[in-house]
This record gives sequence, C-alpha cells and structure tokens, in this order.
Amino acid sequence: MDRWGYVILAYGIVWTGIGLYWLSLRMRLKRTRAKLSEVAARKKTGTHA
Amino acid sequence: MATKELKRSRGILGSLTLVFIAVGLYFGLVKAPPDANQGDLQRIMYLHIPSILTAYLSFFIVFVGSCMYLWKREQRDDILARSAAEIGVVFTALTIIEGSIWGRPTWGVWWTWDARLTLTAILLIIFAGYLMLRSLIEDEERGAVAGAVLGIIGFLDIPLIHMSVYWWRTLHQPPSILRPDKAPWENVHPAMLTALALNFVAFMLLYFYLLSLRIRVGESEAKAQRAVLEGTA
Amino acid sequence: MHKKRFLIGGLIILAAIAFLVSRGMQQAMVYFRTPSEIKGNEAKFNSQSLRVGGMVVKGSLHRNADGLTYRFQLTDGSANIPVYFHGVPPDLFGDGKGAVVEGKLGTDGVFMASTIMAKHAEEYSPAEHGKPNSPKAFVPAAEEKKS
Repeated sequence: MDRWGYVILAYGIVWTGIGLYWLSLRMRLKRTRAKLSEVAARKKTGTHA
Repeated sequence: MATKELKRSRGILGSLTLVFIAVGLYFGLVKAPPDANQGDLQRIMYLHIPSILTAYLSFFIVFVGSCMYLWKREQRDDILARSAAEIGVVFTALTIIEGSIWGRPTWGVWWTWDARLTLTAILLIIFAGYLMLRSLIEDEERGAVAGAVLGIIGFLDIPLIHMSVYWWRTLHQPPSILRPDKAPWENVHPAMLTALALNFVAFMLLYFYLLSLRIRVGESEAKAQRAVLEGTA
Repeated sequence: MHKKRFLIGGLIILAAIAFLVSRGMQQAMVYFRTPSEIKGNEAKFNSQSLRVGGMVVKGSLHRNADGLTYRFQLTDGSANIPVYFHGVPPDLFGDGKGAVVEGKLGTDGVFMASTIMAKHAEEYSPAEHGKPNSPKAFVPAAEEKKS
C-alpha cells in the first residue's frame, strides 16, 4: 500500500465509524420514543398489560 | 416551552458541524502541504490529534458528571457522564486505529507496548468496562454509583498518558501542540497548523452535537423506564 | 449493607486495575535500553529479548547487495552498539535517524535485530522547509536530569 492508501484507509474508517455511530444514536432515540408513546397510549386507554 | 428554539439551535449546530467537517477534510487532504519526511502520511495527524483531544474532553466530562452525581445524586449528571463515556470510547478507539494505520508505514509496526500506547489501551479498556458495567447492573442507582467511581478512576489515566512521553522511554514522540515550553508553530508549520486547527474545531462541534443527541437518548430511555415502572406498579 | 458491598467491590476493581497497570508498565517503562547501559554489561543482556534505542551513527549504515541485510551502529552519544538486521526496515529509517531495534544481543556483542522501528520527531513541515527528522532527546528529559 502506498502512502495515500494508508491515508484513505484512516479517513475512511474514521468517517464511516462516526457516521454509523450517529445513525445508531438516531435509531435508539426513535426506538425509545416509540416505546414511550406506546406506554403513554396504553395508560390512557387503561389497558394494563 | 422553548422546544422549537432548542430544535432550531440543534439544527444550526448540526449544519455548522457539517460545514466544518467539509472544510477540515479539504484542508487536511488537499490544502495542507505534504510533510518533508512522511509525505502525505502526515495527513493522518489531522484526525489523530483532534480525535484524542475529543476523547480527553469527553472523559473530563465523565469525571465532572461523576463527581456531581456522587455529590448531589441527580440522574441528570449520571446521564451526562454515561453519555460522555460512550462517546469517549468511540473517539479513543478511533485514535488507536488512526495511530496504528500511521504507525505501520512510519514506525514500521502496527502496535508496540510502549508507555503511551499501553496507557491509551488501558484508557479504552477502563471505559469499555464502564459501559459493560452499566449495561450489566439493572438497578439504576447502584449502576450510577459504580459507574461514577469507575469514571473518576478512569479519568486519572489521562494525565498519565500525557506525561508518559516525558517520564518514560517511548517510541511515541513527545507532544507537538500541548506543551508549555514551545509554541505550536515551532513544531508544526503554520500551513499544517491551520489544517489541524480547522479539524479540531470540526471535531469539537461534532462532539457537542453527538453529546446532545446521546443525552437525549439517555433522557428518553430513563423516561421510558420510569413510565414502564409506573405502568406495572 | 449495599454500600459496604459496593465499597469492597470497588476496591477490588481498583486493586486489579492498579496491579495490571503496574505489571504492564514495568515492561513499558524500560521500553528500550540505551547503548551505554549495554556497553560493559553485555553478559547481563546476553541472548535475552530486548529493545535498544539510539541514533544510527552517520556513515555507519551498510546495506548488502541483496538489499535486505543491514549493518549499522546505534549510539546514544557516549556508546555505540553494532546492529545486524535482515529484513525490510520502515521508510523513515536511515543514516543519522533515530531507531528502536528489537532482538537479541549476541555473545559477540553484535545485536541481532528482528524488527527495526523508526523513532519519529514531533516536528512537521513541508518539503521546502524540511528539517532532518531526528528526535533531539532520545531519553526523556526527566531521566537525563536525574543522572
């Protein structure tokens, strides 16, 4: 691998990694929010599981 | 409620982050001149130094949040500490990967057990352990206390990492930027320093963007847990 | 009761970390030996794995016709150690540059290196302002003051 190869590898891993982490955070936020509204809805209708 | 304003400022922070990442990439990969000795390999420095400084800041926030939690026992501080620990682990891991990719062609090895590299690996292990501990202990409060203690201990590794190159014989070179005896531009040419500074700003913006997102995740997870507990009670 | 158990658990974790750190650091702390430490004490270091760090003496670097065999002297300013290496050294390795070598000290006093690592300086500049890339202080300043 030449010098640019190492540079591209490093930049690629860093920005892919950060991008994936950002996506995972957004998914976690969405999931817990969905869960929250589900619990709230259940409470309103009074159907305790 | 000022939800709308909060949302707007988050949007501004997000776009500003993207702009600075783009500028940082341009300066780091195009505008900055290749190094006299390493050639283009030196461009990895524009990731490596901002990454580790972001990790240091993040673990400092863990330290502050942990102290605050042990003192006041407010969940808010625990969420802050736990969020910062997670992001700190991400940036420490990235720092080690970047260093390794730089080390192979420059030093000749992907890894070596000198004091600085060893202590950085220990930092990663401590905070990876922190995250595991937090996911294992189900009791909210006990997990928070254990995490706070480990978070404070873990942070103490950072001054050791910084001083390691002064105290012991290492393969890793001494700091170029964070040192009291020399100005940064004496070690790093101004054209390279500009690229480094821009990338540092990009990483800082990115850090606070990610931290605020991670805190929101933590807050809504805590809220969901409370709601479930109330529902079953 | 819970608090007590936590304190004990925490202390055990703390002790374990401290133990691991000190064990690991003992090796990392003497990451390499200097030529001065070896000169005169060859018997002590004979045929054990170790690292030696120093500058490649200018003009001492010889490469055999096969391109893979290197002979050079490593110095810390006061003593020299002859080194033999067969393999591919890193790009930044060269005459007058800093290096850390891994290997074994032969009974003849020649260090048989299995790995060469280039020690890099903390200075960065473009080619037209190029300075030789040589670490000024090979041994930390704190250690030099002590001796």
